[in-house]
Amino acid sequence: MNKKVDTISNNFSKIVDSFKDKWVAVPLDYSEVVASADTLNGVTSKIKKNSNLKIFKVIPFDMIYSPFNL
Amino acid sequence: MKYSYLTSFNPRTGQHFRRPIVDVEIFGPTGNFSTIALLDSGADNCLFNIEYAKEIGIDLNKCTKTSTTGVEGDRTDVYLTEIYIQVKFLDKIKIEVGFIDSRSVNGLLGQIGFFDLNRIKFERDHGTFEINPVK
Repeated sequence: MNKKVDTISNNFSKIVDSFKDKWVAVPLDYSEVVASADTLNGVTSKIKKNSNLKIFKVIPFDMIYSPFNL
Repeated sequence: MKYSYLTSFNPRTGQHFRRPIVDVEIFGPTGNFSTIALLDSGADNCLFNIEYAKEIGIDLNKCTKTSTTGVEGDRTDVYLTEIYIQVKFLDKIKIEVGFIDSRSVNGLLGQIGFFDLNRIKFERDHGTFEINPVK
């Protein structure tokens, strides 16, 4: 795995560790948390539109992903 | 197209979690979001957190309401509808997704709507995975 990927993973790890269950807005390489809040709306209200950030809910380390039956 | 697994390290337990996560944009009637989603071959459907629905203008009353059961056995409502999504480096596609009010779901790309439209090859030992649209 190249150095760039490691950096991205390290950045991602820090976010998962520090912002569990929060919504965050980050640049593409996860290098910083530009905004965080308890809700998606809370994050979007803190950032400019079209700011080239990705927004997601931070899922805890120990979350088990499971099959879903609809 | 080849992607790298995203690894997260839990400093408290010393555990590494390597997951096939991609950047994805989701589009709705009134807005769009750049976010991330996990390729989940064990998920029947593509699921996104319900908060996205509100922000991109999805009217949940017009969605098909169903429910799902996770490993813990709890049933949770899911609101199915068609939206456009675009995974980074791939074309924009219209698929059925479910919106769910769950702490454990940000975005999941599952069998119906994603794995059936793409040939996906996991190479975890190399830290990479490939997504190639089925022609």
